[in-house]
Amino acid sequence: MSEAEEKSSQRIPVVRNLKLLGDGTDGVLMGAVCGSCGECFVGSPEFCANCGSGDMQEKELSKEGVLSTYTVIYVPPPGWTGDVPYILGQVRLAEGPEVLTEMVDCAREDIKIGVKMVLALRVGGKDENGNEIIVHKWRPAEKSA
Amino acid sequence: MPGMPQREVVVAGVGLHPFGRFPEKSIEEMTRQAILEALKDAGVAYRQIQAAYFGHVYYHGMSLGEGILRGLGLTGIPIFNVENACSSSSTAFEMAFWAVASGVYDLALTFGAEKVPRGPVSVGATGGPQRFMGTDHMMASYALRARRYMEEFGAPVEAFAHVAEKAHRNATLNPYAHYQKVFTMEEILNSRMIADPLTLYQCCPTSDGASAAVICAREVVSRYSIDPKRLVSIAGVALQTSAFEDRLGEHVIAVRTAREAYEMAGIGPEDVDVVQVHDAATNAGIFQLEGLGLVERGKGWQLELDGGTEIDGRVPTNTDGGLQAMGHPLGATGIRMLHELVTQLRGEAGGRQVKDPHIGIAENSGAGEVCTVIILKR
Repeated sequence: MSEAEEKSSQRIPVVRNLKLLGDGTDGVLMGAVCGSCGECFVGSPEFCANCGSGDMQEKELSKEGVLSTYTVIYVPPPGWTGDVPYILGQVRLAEGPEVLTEMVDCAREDIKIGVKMVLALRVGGKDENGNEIIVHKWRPAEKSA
Repeated sequence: MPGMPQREVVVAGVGLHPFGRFPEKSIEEMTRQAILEALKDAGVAYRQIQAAYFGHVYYHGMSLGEGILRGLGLTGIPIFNVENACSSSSTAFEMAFWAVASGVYDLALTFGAEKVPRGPVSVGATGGPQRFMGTDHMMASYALRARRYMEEFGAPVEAFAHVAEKAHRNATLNPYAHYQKVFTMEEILNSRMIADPLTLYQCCPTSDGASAAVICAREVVSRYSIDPKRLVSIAGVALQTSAFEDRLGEHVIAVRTAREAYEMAGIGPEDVDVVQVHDAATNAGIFQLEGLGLVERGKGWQLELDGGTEIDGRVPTNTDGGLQAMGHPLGATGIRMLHELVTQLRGEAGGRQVKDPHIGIAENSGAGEVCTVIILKR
């Protein structure tokens, strides 16, 4: 690939608070912890929703959590290019917040609330400039990456 | 808590355009029909209205409220166009209420309308990279709650399906409803799966429709030709949005919003005679009742299966068919709920009439999350 082609096709995270590491095949969700009361949030809110403090400190969130609920989508929203049906899993992180995204590498029969899930990155699609959109997903902890 | 009203406000009249699909009618035409019905029901002339509040979501051009009222002859009054997702017209109604309660206006018009495109409803703007997440799906958010509720309380999916079955039965008695036919439990459960466990007939239809209500300060009702025998008092209103404490559990937002409205009205859930809740998905028709304190948390599904939410039950709910059978023209739904409560409280609900109701409560949700609770009394 020429240098021009390499530069023109990048890996871009699907949301601002997904930090890609290395060549973009690894990453971590970023959050914020309140320096005053210790509560934790996904993303980078200016003020703590619990106590109102502006002392918000950036934090890398856990890459694992526990499945708190799920659903199987048979009629996807506009723009979805992945499998249909697909599974959405809501996972509670040890820090408190819950993260909702697709569950991969698991069969419907194996899904159980309470099961440990770990973060896995996948290519979600390409944008109009040919960049790969990297999406964080959940997979069961006992499966290999 | 925003404070108490300075004077009593009443609903003087209500109106609806039927909900359904009306491709030959513009949103302006449909809404004017609902407004004219409300003005006639109130006994006031359009010229007497001092302010107008309009709830709608989808874009049909700027200043849609002005565009609609132009067809009634613009009078120069302040017109407020309001959006709060599915709770847009409840929000518009609450804004009008506080203005009248505070003495800013004596007589105000509130209305809501929508023409909803077919297909799944998205909350976010389309086209961004988030379309690759597959999470912007209104029914998915309800399905996630449904699954958690089933696990936690052992509720069968039949309890959810029953919300739709009952809604459609009620709507056969309602000429304004989008769907006016019976759906059996089998048809509902066997319809196409949308977001497990919610099948197509457990998701409210998208619809066109419009609703309107005229409100007035009680102390000046005699200035207009409003029938004082048909007034319904606005006893309590509250509007809240998501907060940190919602992490404590399910539907905490409804609990705290209802608490605020009950406090303003000086009543408790035991005083409520007739109910409207936001059954965009069937499971919400149950968990919102729990949030309003009308049934204990986790027991709503049993109440539903036992017939407790029927017109002759302990907690008559969505007597007109709710979102499930009326359909859900987003901006029109809030005031449509109030239309049914007013009709019930006046004793004018015909075959849908609840026995001698005095207090009605309407819970209208919106993405965001928004919760509105309005209590009416007669």
